Amino acid sequence: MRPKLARGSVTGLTQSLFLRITSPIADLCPSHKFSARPAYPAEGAGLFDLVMIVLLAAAFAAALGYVWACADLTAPSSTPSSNPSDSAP
Amino acid sequence: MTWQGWLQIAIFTALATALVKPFGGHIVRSVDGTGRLRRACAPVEAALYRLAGIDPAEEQSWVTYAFALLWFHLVGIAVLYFLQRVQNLLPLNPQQLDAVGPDLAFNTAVSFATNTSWQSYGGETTISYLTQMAGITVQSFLSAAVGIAVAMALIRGFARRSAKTIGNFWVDITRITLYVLLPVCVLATLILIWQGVPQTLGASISATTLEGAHQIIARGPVASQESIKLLSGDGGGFFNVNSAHPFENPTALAGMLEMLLIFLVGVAITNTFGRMVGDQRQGWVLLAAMGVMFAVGVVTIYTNEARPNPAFAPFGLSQTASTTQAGGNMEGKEARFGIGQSALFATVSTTSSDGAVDSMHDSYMPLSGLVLLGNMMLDEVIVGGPGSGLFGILLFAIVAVFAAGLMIGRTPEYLGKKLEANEIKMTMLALLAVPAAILGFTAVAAVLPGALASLGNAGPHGFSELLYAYTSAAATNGSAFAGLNANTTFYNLTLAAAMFIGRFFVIIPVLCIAGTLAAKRVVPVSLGTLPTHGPQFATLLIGTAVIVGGLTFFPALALGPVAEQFAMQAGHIYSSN
Repeated sequence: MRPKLARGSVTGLTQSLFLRITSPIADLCPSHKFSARPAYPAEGAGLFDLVMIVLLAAAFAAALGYVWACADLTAPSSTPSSNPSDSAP
Repeated sequence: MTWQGWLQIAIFTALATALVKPFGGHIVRSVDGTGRLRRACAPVEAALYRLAGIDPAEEQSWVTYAFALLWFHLVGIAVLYFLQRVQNLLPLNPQQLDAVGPDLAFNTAVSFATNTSWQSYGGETTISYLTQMAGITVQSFLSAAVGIAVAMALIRGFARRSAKTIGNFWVDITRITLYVLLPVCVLATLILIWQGVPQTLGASISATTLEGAHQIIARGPVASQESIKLLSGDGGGFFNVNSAHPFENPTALAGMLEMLLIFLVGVAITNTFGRMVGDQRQGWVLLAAMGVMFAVGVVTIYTNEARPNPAFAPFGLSQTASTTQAGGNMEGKEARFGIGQSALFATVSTTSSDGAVDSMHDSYMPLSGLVLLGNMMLDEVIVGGPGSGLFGILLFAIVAVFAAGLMIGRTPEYLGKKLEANEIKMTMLALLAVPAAILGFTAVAAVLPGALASLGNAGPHGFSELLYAYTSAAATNGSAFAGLNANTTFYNLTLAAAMFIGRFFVIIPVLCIAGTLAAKRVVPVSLGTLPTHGPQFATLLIGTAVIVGGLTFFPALALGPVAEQFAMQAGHIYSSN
């Protein structure tokens, strides 16, 4: 059940925004099974798109960061290691 | 089992092997720019570079190569996403299909850009012709080209000495698309049209059946998508039932061609590898290891599916192959394909990362389901997708050489390059990313009541449905076990995340390995060097892949197909959910 919001107040607007952003999560555990997906309400479509864009941006930020992390992890060492066993035939 | 089934498997194996050397050479010549086709089309290639502002002579470090690849995918995913979201406003939509929902569009965009082609939708009822052609088909070409490009970068890492660069991403994908993928697809499309696959922009046909019922027969630009769907290792069907649909796979010849297209780049690129590192035996060893694992898989599935189903035994039904029936387990299989072809197609599909299906894997016997899962869990080492199969098995080759080096205390060497801490760290990251995604997401889904509500079956088979979905996504295979209603927000988002991790969190370490290897000098061969061009190394490689894969996934497999197999033998059948 949706909590009653204080209309016009900053708290109310924040709550409203939070509920709108998290509303896709309400669909995480659908009670329906093997039925067609309900159509998304036209008014909410833009918000859903925004959520998807944010997700995509976050995923790519993670991937770009991963490149840097790998580059750091494999940066050449100033003291190269040597294995004495390698010189044996 | 029938002799026709075995003959079909033998013919396919012989044809696929025969294509390895010629096509492997063609890939080398296409990418290095010495092929006749490339010379003939050089002005087109040059014009494309001018248009995009690319200097083809400029080489890239692995970091620059990886960034170019990531930005290229970001744009590709965004374009495919928005194409789906506004397809109702765009032309070439004769069925007037609505815009695709945001989470499904997101899942589909990630799916095709990562060469997975997991489909939470039925193509003929969801995607317009324009989205199919300008979105999905384009991504099929580009995602395959990226996979091959990454493999070429890794090969250069082995082949180059004291180099700071691994190639140019833009040049690689342009040449691979123009000279490797497009010519084969044009030829295959024409053959498929000849065999009866539709290629039209006309709307679906309304027909009245002999019983007087009304039926809508979907059609569209199928042949052009079909050819790249198979060649790219993509596997996303134009129709919901994929290659089981008579418009996607109309004849025995078309079926054989489709399986060969799926394997073509994956097997041939082993020869490309051998040529580029200057010793073709190295490529044949990798192919032999792939071939042994493939043979074990197809023989196990065929013999298991051709056996009578023990659940039918109490009813006294005849399940022996005869002139009137195929015998064995025919549930979920097309009567026109039979058991032999279905087992072969299923093995080709799951070993190759293609994911196209012409039978429903959910209906396979538990032991066969285990093999199908295992094929994908080995992370594309058995042929795999275009390019991704090669870098997948090379990762295991690095682990195998490392293990051998540990046994004798020497720093491991592969193809004259010392494998040190950096390469092993990156190999481990790449090899752990896929299992982490598969097991992590499966574990989460297995405890969420909402996620479990999507399952078609209870008990261990239901768990197999979950495990298969995330395995298929993270291994960038895309085939569906069926039985799972995946078009929910939870599955669309978590499967997209699994696909993203399975693709990029493997590719990035692979490019890093390419960069660090390219910078190394070549160590001369000595008595202490492990030979990597003979049966001994092939055996070591197979053992490494099976042991690593087995240890990682056995607990999960024990809860799914293994438990189901024992339960079935004890006469316990789990009802639908």
